Amino acid sequence: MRADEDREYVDYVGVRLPRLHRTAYMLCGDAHQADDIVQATLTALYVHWRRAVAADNLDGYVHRIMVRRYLDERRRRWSRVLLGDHVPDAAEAAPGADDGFGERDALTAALRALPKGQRAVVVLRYFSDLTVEQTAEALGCSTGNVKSQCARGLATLRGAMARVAERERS
Amino acid sequence: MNEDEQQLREGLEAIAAPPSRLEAETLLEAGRRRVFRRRGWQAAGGVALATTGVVVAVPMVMREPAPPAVITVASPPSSSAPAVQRGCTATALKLPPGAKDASADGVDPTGRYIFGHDSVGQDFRPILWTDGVPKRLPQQEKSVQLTTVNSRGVVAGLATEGNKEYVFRYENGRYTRMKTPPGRWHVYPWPLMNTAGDIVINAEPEGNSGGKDSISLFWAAGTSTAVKLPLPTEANVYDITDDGTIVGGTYLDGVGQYAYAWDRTGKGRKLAVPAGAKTLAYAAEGDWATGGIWRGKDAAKAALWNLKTGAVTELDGEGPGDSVNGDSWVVTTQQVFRNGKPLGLAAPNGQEVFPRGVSNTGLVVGHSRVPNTNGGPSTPRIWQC
Repeated sequence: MRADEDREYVDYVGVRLPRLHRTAYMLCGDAHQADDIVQATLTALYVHWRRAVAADNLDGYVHRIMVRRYLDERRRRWSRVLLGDHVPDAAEAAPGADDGFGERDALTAALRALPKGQRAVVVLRYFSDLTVEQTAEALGCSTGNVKSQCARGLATLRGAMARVAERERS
Repeated sequence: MNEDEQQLREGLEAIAAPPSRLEAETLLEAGRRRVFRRRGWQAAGGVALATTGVVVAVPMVMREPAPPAVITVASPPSSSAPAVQRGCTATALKLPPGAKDASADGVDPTGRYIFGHDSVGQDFRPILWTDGVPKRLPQQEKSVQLTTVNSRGVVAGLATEGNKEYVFRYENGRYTRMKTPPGRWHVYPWPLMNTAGDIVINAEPEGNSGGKDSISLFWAAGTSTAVKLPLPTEANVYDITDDGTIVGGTYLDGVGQYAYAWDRTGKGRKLAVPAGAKTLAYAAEGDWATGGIWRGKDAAKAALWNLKTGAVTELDGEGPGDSVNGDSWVVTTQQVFRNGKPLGLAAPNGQEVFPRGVSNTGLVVGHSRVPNTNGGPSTPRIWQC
């Protein structure tokens, strides 16, 4: 790759990295595995960068690779990650996050308890802001399947969100 | 967008992730290495390349145990590629009825039994090949993932019940669920087994991640009641050999430190560590163990330990090592090393090759895939080397 393309890649990755890491974390529920998935995704992106930037929707392309890597990692029998010595002390602060650790924990736990398919649909639709069509493409399923999984996931999470709202009121 | 959806968006926004070690610049370096390696392989075309690096193999036979030593490869300049050995014959494995694709994910030491999967959505469907003949194992749960097979054809793995995984042993046509100690545990990463049928794995309290407050478990052959191994706090185990040696590593605050070999009583010895590096042992067979060597932010290198002497060889390629055979061949994510040099594993039409395991007879198993398909159909393959 040429130097200007390298710069484009670093610029793109630098901006998207925190959110991609959070997306992977929500998908798999483990920070180590999330790093593994994101690294594999973005390394693959570099290899195909020229083709990727020509795509209509680069973010959709990246999410598609990431979901495939997530599935591949499960197939590969993941968790061979060793964190280096350069991990920041504090967790990434989510933009706009308040101090309600309990509230976030409740939703995190509820998200983790979802079946993997529902969790992936919910994360891609409502955190990564993919459309129904893009989510279906990323997961390799039909739009009808995305809609039904969304409905089920929302119904399950409604309870957790209601508890969060209840605590906010009290 | 309705109110529920909006509330969920806001809730997800507020979820913080633990810190990541990734940075854009290091990913750029990893991408460059990947491009270089692909080009190097394409240029090789199956012919050995010249290299300035010298791979020093640990002697195959040591009559007397020697003090642990570190033998490190001489790293070639970044512009060269390691020598590639020829001589492996690729064959596609037959698919069971109804399978459109599959992967071969491991092999027993004799090469007779190969396990693998196809999948529906995100769920594994187990396949066991015996002498090359595929057979689907019963789909006991929605997802059944095989992770190890021994030379008697006994298989172990992870089954998903609801959203929770448990360890099973499959023997004589029956699944047996391996019990965990009282409490709610999440087992990880996956079970491995020796010829006798002893199984090891780790478990962390449900809800934890990254191995927080983990324990290591042992199921003796023929039993389903776990014994907690008396290992140091945070130690994790990954494999067990036929003589009962258990390999793994120590951790500190969730960060891997040093590769170790223990016995069942918890008596352990630290395996040799290259200066300034951290190590973990992920697999073992006979007198050999493999795993990873990490230095700062650099990508892992594959490690090969002689368990008799404790000496380590650092292999010249991307690590860590995932599997090893009794003749010290090492399998990493994308390569197989024999005597410290990568083997040339080819597949038709320039397909990308993903090796997963190697038997003591030199049978490599894995799968191949058309490049750039990011999850397209896989063909399960064997390479007899």
